[in-house]
Amino acid sequence: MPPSKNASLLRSVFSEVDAIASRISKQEFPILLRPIAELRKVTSVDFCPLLVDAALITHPDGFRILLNSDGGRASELKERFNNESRERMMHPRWRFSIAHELAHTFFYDISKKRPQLAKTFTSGGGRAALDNLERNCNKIASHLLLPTAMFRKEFLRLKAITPETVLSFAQRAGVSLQALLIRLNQSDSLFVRRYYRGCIVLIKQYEGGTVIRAIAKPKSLNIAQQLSLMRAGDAWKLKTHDGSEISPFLLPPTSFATLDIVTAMSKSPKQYKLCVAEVGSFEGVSSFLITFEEN
Amino acid sequence: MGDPYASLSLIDDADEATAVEPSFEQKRTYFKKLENPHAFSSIFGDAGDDLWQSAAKRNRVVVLEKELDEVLRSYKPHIAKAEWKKLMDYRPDFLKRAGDTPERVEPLINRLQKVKIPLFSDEKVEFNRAPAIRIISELEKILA
Repeated sequence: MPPSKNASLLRSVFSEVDAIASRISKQEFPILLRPIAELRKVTSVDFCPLLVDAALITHPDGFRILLNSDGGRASELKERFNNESRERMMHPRWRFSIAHELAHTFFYDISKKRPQLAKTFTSGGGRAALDNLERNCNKIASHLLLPTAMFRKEFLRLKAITPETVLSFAQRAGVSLQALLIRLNQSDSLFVRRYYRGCIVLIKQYEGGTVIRAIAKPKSLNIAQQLSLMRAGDAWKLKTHDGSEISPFLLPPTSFATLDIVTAMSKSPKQYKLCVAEVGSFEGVSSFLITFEEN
Repeated sequence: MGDPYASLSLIDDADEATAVEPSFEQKRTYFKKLENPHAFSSIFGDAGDDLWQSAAKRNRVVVLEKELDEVLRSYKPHIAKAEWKKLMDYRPDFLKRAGDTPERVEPLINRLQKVKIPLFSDEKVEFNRAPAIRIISELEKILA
């Protein structure tokens, strides 16, 4: 099966997942996962020590999901999942792991007594079939947590794109900033619709340096070359038009920097507004969310 | 009347003066014939305690090996096919390092038992593509 067939399978699963998540949540964030799990015949989500992050198990009545956790917290986590509510959500990391395993269930025919694998990706794009499945299950998980229509509506409703509004959106949806930015990065049309000429970057500062954890930027709008070259996983090395380095930890909450807009014919300086907020700090690792917007 | 237990005797009376210490195998055969576990110390003497202990330790290493194999078997569907060989190559290394410090064997058995995928009889782990390195790094944490 050529990669285009994989894309078509992915689109059909996206559409199924979007519809289920929107319907079950009655178009309101956050998407609670337990009702979706029940619909997918997941009879139990258990937490136990494992050598892997999670495992999907089939049995005659459906599925069981196992998630890796220290044995001491197993019953607490199970209780949190079983009684999750809008007021008392699980940690975004757990929600994404559960959503990823739920994503796998969409490839099974659950009308049979024991779920039967009914749809599969094939190798393609330089990756083995199971690699494609795993990568795509991450994308499907982000659709489960942020269904397309609801995600669009919420993003377009933001009055401004600042670290505070983005963080608040992630919290309302019960997703990590990383998951939100990855989802946003796949939604070029939202940036175009807002005509947002800039980008949103999540960085982590370790003792040894600063790394870009996630980035969301438009593909169809021409943004500064320095921003369009940024990639998740890269070390942070942003320099302004005049070559001076921008250190995000030394910036005030709002500042301005001149970056380079490059076209086929020219390279010209353009002023960008930068907004920075520290969004987490743990054991010497600090996270910052930065928004860049052409002024 | 002859001695009815003569056949069970390890050393002939006549040869007592010149008797040599029977080998471990001879002692073991005799011990088996007796079918009396309480005779262990009198046959093997003080050295028996050491033998007993080392046999027990060997036994625990065998249990550790069995536990490791059960753990690996439970994860087999979860691991990419191409990665399975890497795990099999790692297996003897794990066992050697685990067996090097006998007092660690028991805690290691306990830890391995905890990470086995807990399955009911009618359950099946679905296929996945976990890389061997992930499993190996978790087994290394168990060893540490």
